[in-house]
Amino acid sequence: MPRTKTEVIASRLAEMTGLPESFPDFLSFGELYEGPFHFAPGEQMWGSGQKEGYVWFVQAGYGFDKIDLEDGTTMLNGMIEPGLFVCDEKNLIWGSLTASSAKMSTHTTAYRLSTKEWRNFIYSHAHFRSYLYRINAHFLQMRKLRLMKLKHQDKKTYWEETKARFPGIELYCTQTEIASYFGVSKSTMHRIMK
Amino acid sequence: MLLFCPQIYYIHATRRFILTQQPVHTSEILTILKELLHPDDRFLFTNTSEQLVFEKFSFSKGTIHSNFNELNNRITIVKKGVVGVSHRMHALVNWSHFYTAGDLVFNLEIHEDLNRMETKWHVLEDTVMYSIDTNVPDAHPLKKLMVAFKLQRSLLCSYQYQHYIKEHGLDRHEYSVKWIREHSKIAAALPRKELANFLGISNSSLKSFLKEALADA
Repeated sequence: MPRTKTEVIASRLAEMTGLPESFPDFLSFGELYEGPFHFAPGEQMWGSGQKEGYVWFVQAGYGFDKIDLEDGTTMLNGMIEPGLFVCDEKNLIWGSLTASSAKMSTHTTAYRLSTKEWRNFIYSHAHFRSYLYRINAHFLQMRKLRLMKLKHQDKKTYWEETKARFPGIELYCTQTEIASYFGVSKSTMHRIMK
Repeated sequence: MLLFCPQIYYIHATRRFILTQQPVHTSEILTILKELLHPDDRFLFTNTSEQLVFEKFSFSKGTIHSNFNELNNRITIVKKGVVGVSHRMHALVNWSHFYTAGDLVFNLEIHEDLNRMETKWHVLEDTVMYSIDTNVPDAHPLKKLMVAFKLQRSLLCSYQYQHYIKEHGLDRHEYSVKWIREHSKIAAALPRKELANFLGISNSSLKSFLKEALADA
């Protein structure tokens, strides 16, 4: 039997926290989400410079998000995959215009919650808030590792790891975009990918 | 103990730390705290900032900390000094960033249970921090403000690493020269190899970037 939007989101939160899917905060959080929204390959889930921001939940589909850099270029940030909560962090934290974009590479089904509603929910649900902090603590460790890999991991090894984690990355992202993920020039990336 | 400011209370943290008598630049700290908040929440600060209780922490140059439980559940700002943050990946230990005056510090990056990368704080200069305890009872008049601070702190802690990742997407030459100019004291204090690793450049590039940065200084 198809599961409702609320059940799908609550189930993912249960998976992430180890709590039961019926945890009341998970159900009320899932209920707030709008959708489903469907995206075809090549469509943007959100773009850069947008005022309205959302915390998206991806039920199905794959894509990539990119972040705007101070020099006007963009940098490949990571893959969007099923089960992920994803958003423009700058918009979420300070309500500023989005400084990233997300383009889907396959047919996608997603749900969204405005960052304002997200914040209101977090403020009024103390238990949910404490679980969010725990999830964020894990997320932070992943970011630390990503930074250290970007700076110090052998690029060839890192590329092999990345290909294994994001199969088909070279089909959906340009070599320039991939080079930005590794912090190397396009020509260096070309050599690494050979 | 009331120090330097008629409206804001400062408590010296006496355990472990040496006290100094630096004047408190209240407005600077308050501006940083206000800007930490989401714009929709800044009204909480306007009405309550006068009731904030600050604690002062002092750290001696040369000390290394692999846990900062004293700063758990706090919002902390560097008043003066430098703290470098190192991590281990395989056999390599390297810097990811340096906290200097005016920076918010995030001790969540040294998480007791999750610290597989052996993140450590290295106090590179005598450092003074001001800190607010965000753990207040539900009935406390600043409860909403403290909840807002805690949420921003949690989000910003991971976002700061996104910021460092983004910096590595920038042109290495331009970025390195700019960084050395803006942080000349830190650059001078670090061994060349560590500085090159931190900037993600070779030793020979560092040599020429240092020349360039110092030539215009």
